[in-house]
Amino acid sequence: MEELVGNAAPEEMKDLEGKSTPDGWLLGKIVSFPDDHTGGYFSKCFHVTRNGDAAFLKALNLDKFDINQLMGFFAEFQYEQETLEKCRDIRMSRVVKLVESGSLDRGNSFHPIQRKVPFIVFELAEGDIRNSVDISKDVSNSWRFFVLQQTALALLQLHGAQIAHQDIKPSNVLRFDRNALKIGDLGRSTDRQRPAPHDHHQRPGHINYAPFEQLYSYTAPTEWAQRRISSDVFQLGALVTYVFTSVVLPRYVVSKLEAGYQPTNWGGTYSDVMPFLQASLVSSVEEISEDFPDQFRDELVQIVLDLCHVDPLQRGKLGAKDGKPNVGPLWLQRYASRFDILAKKASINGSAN
Amino acid sequence: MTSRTNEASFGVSKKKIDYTADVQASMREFGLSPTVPIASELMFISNEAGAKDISLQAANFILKHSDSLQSKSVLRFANEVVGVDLDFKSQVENSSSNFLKAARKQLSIEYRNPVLLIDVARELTSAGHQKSALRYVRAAVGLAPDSRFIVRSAARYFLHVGDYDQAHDLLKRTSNIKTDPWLQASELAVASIRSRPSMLSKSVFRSLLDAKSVGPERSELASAVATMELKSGSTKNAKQLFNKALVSPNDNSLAQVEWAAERLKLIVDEQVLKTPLSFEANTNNAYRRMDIAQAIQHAKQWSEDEPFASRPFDALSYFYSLDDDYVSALDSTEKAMRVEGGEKLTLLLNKLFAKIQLGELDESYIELLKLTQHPDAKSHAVHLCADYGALAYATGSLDEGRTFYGKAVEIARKRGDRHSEGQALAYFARAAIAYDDPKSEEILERANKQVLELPSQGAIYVVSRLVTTEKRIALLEVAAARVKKRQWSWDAASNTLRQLE
Repeated sequence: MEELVGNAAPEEMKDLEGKSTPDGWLLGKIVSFPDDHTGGYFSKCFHVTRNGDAAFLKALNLDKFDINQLMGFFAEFQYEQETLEKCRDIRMSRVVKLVESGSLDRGNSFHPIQRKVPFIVFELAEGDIRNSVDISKDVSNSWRFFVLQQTALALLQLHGAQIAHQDIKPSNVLRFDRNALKIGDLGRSTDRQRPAPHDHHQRPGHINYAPFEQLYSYTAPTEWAQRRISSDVFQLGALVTYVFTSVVLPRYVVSKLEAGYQPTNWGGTYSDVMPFLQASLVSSVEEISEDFPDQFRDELVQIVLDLCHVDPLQRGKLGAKDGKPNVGPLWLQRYASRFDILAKKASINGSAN
Repeated sequence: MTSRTNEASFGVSKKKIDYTADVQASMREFGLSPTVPIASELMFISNEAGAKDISLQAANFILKHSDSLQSKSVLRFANEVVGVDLDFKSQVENSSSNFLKAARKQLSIEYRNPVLLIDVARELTSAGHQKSALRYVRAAVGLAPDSRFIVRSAARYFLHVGDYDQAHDLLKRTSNIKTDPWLQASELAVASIRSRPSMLSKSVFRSLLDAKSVGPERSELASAVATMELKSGSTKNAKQLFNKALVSPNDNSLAQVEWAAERLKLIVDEQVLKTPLSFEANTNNAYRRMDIAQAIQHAKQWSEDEPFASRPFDALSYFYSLDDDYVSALDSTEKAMRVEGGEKLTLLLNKLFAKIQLGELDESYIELLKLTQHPDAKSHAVHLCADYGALAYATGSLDEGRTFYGKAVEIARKRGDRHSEGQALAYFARAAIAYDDPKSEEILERANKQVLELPSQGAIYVVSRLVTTEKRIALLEVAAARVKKRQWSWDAASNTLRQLE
């Protein structure tokens, strides 16, 4: 598989090895994290240690990009630092913890713009959830539901603070000691109280899990919660199919569309393509549902169809009072409870699959 | 089974998606940790990005672990990526009952699926269950009253069942009628069928005439307006608009252009005929070129694309008759009748003609007597007399055969129905020769001369198969000249090729 490995120049940011952060974290060697929960395209990661404790450090890769491009990345990195600080300050237990943030000085030999390297030190995760829900291994259904419940709870914490994650994907749901789960990589998040540098991006997160409307460059609704939080809700729905089947639902649905309706070919409006997406979504979920556990199949189908609704205004409405769009901070509370109940049911049954 | 529609094929998306960074990120992860869940993510994104080599590697990795995989969906997708067709979908979709069963199952999961509701209605209509289809059409419109596809499909359904008012009302009430050229094209067509004024404003009409060119989104509207102009006698406007519609046609606009091509001497070249889903236009074009085998092929595709419509089956029946394949002609007519769901006299007469040719004479005689009492008999007198003539010849009553075919020709001429006149002349000659009428030479000679003056390629085709080689060549040359072709000349001054009109 060597040919598939990225070809990042190994010497980029290598000079940081052996340096210490202002709080005394010593940078070890550059590491490649297979579990890409670091937003690794823009950054370099290091194992760091201090007094026997281990953590990891993400530094903006100033050697990879042209100096003109860096200004935008500085702003985004700083935004992530500030968002993580906010999460830490209000003690969000389900978001990966910021240990330290600041900048490292590389010395006079560097261009002034490349000299101060912004960094973030995080608590060290054991990995992400992907290998723990591997469909080629025996994994209990109660664990799969637990993953979903913990993700919903983490989103509730973020949404309660008016932060939308916008890049919920399996690699950003991190595993810690004793199976504690937290959300990582807030590099694409947006805080309602502060405009984000990437707010104008059509697709803030990874394309694999991007909601349908983002692929069709549909930006309405402009209301913050409807637009931003509905994206998280969609990605939670995509996570449901992933943890049970490894299927990347949004891509599966798009692949089943007639070529003319696919995002790269479609020249009409999003509202005109929505009925076709809806048809493809339903038939895709029906196909995929054969891999859902028998006992939970019908319920999982309803959950996925609701969370991944093609219309952002309709997402997560199932069971909502008066059928009104429910975009408050407790939007996902019903789902967190539901996944909890399902995890318990699965646990009582005790079946692996 | 999502419906194929022309709306999807218009325009070029302005939304170019750059997958590079995300595919690279997934590749890097997979390289560092080659596991099934990560391979799956890579397979899905690289497949959509069109990175075939990468999606193949990821899919092959997944397939290597197929023994332990508990996800049939991922395996199926991986097989599709590597090109193994498990034929799952096509098996389901192959038969109408399977489709309906699968569709109803999906609707029980989620009834808010207007496209599927329309697909079900289409399937039911094709099977002749128009009434059952109605509730699906209504539900689809209720769920997506502003969707162009749903509204146009529903309007088409109402046209099909003869409820023209409902079709027109539906189009007029849709919220986008003033801005959407596709809906405007449909509304204009329905208004024309109803002989009622269209909602199309003069400014839209003017903008089409004034426009230097018409984009794909207005092609159908341009051809719809052109059709209306042609019917009202404004051939100059019609020609101009048809030519604009030809720049970026869709299947419907091309079908309309083809319909008017001979009359207006429009050039429909090979490139244009490659327009996706343009089966009707290709059928007509092949017929005009008298390539009946090709016309049959295209008409078959047309009937598969529009199984709810009787016209493709009607066309097939006609082509099979031209080729003396009356078993297939009868079969196609019966299909047209099933789809039509009523006792349309034209179809009954076509069926009768096929039966006569197949030698089912006693039954045909009773049927013919019955048809003469049909309320529409008078307006189909040409066809009735021709069938009478055919039956008389088949039963050996040559004089009677001659008399009735003669009457058919005469009535058609008096009515100015030149197409039917050609048909009657040609089949008269064919019957006279087939049943050894002593006057057959005279009849054939008359047909040979007169069909050249008449606008029926089918008539020329039939006669060309009865005459000598020399005469056949002459007939075919005249017929071929009717199909306008693009001509080029070299302009010495600019050293370029110029297209001649």
